[in-house]
Amino acid sequence: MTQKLRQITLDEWDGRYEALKSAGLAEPFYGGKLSRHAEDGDYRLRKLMFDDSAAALRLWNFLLTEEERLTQARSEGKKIVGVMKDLGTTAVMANALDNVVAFYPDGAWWIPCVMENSDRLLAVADSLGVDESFCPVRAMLGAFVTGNHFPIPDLLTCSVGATCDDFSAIAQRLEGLGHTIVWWEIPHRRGPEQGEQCVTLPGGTFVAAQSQVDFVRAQLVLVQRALEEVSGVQLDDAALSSAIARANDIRRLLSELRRTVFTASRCPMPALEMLIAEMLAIHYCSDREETAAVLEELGAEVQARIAAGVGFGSPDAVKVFWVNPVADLRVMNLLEQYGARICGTEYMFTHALDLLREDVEPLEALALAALADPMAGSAVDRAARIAADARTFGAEAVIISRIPGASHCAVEGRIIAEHLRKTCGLAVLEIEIPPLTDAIRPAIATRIEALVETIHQRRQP
Amino acid sequence: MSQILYTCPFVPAEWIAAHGLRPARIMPQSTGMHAAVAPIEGLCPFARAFANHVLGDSTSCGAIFTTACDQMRRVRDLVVDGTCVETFLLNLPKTWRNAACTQLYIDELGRMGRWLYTLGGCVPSADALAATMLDFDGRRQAMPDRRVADSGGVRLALVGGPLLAGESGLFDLVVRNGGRIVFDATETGERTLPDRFDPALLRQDPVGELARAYFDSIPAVWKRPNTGLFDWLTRECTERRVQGVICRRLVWCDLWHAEVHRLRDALHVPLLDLDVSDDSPAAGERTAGRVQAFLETLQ
Ligand code: SF4
Ligand code: SF4
Repeated sequence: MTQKLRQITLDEWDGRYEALKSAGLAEPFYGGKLSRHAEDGDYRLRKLMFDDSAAALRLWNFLLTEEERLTQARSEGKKIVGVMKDLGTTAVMANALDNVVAFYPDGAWWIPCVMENSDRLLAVADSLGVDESFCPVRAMLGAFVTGNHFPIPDLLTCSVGATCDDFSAIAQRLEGLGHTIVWWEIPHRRGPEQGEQCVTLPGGTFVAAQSQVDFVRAQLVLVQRALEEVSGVQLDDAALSSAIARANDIRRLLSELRRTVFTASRCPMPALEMLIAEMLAIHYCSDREETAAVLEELGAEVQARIAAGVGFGSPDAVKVFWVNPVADLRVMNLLEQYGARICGTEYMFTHALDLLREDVEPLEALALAALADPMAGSAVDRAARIAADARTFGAEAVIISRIPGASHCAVEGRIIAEHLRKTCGLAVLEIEIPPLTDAIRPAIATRIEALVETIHQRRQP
Repeated sequence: MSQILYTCPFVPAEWIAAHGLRPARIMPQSTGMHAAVAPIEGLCPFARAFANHVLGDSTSCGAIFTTACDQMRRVRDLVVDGTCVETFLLNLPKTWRNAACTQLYIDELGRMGRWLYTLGGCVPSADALAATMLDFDGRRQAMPDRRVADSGGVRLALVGGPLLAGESGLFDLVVRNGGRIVFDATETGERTLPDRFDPALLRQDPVGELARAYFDSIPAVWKRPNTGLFDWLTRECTERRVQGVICRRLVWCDLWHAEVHRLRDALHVPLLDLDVSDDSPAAGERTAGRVQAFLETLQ
């Protein structure tokens, strides 16, 4: 019989940290006790349950120290580029330049949750008329106004076109506040017309007309020029190709980690840590080499657990494919507490996880990736990718977490759910997850419990 | 003649007509709880109303949706399986200060033309297209000018998203309360009329001129950046000596909602942020109360 691992609280992590240190734990420069982040305002950590490995400690410490890295990069004279919205494409370009550090201001999405609203970013957004009818990304507006969460970038880029109205409207407000933005366009992805050249995009599910790829490629030249201007360095094909190869190194590590975790007979790494790991692929949390090291260590931990036959939860935990990021990280714990585990995810950035093509010119490869954004096409397209991935990982049910205020969530959940029920016979649950779920936790738990019961019943011969 | 439904002002009616089909721009009536697309939290009532209009239509041969906003782009996903009307999604570039985007719009018109052909349309010659464009241009010029004579009352601008069919009483409501709308800058108003066609350019390149008059010229809230909209509104408000602005927006329309503060700052006149959920009598009563109170403060 396999041994069951246990998640620990933040308080328990302090004791665990001391034990690891006594046992000779060597930490990177950003290491330390996790509880220090809660003392600095990341109060949500006190309500989360964590994996207790050194690898997880490193992962969390890495995630929660990004602001320090950005500040340090600026003090070293590097240029800070805020790449907005495209999630994973322009960051690769920016990281081709040694004197540039790129990050996604979009990440402010999670600050209201992580800081339990203590930083009042949503209140600042409210005061600017961007209220709760917008998705939590409105916290980004507050973060720019207060200047408390990241250095104001030297260059801001933002993809528009087939994007949500929330982000587009908020980015426009940022520009209205004096932050100049280099806008670039990703059109709504469409299939080819009769006789038109067609391309299969990274990930293998989506196709696009070649003319759309050519268009996006030309748009990326605008970003390329802006990066050259801010950095003072030419961003040539060789540098871009090398950046793509390095991005793929990260994507391969993550892909292997996801495959191993999602297909293991017993869950070797909790959903929360896996969510954080996936997020690293978007822009490497401002340090690519360290991202690689963090993922390697997580991968090694997972392999060791599988070899030792240990894991979380029960071996018959219901396998859930999760769609959309959760505005409240605590819900990832909740899922596991009610007898389920994550076997597959689509957090709206599969295009940042799929391998970039290395057999075509670099801007072409990046254009292909940008068009593979699951949000750039129809909801049916997105559902098809989810269905394919759910099959790959053997998921038995799908949970779609609705994002409050998000312009795409009003209709796409219904379409995705119908498609999955029809094509894969999967049980689908759609639940709205606000940034802090404490008040509605019992209601969410009840719905997850009901889904778990349904799957157990379905399993019976 | 077969009819093509659309509602977005960036769909050139003359392009449809030149293909031998009848353009029908819809100002939909908001639909109740039991419509095919029921009210959903987060769903724009206008996008929903247009979707329901298309779903309820069995006589038109096609309906054009555009990517002007995410909501419209996505309601088409709800419609495709439930209607016998063919649908088309016109990709509107959001950025506009580069030639590539104008070219994308032109290419999209081409794609739309091929779709119209599949619905029984014809392929217009350049001359036939130019003639249709001149005809439509002339008809637009002959439309009654809402710039009514200086007949007194507080001079208001009506700004915002598209009006629903049941909201046309808004103009009279303003008059009854001592005001007057001196220009309609909603999505269904004069702001979204295309520029006049240039006869010389029209002869050289009619499709290019169509793109210039529509895509390059119509100021829109969703363009990035949307400085064109603010420049246009500032100029018109000054020229027409506007004393107050009603920003009429639909709930869940992020694009207009996000701009209310900027409009207040940019236009330097009192602004009423009028959010509307539908065109029902109950919503009308609320609107009436708010408009009345606003005009009282301006008199
Ligand atoms: S969560 Fe959805 S609505 Fe919000 S920024 Fe992301 S894609 Fe846009
Ligand atoms: S009112 Fe706003 S959300 Fe609704 S269709 Fe128009 S632009 Fe889109």
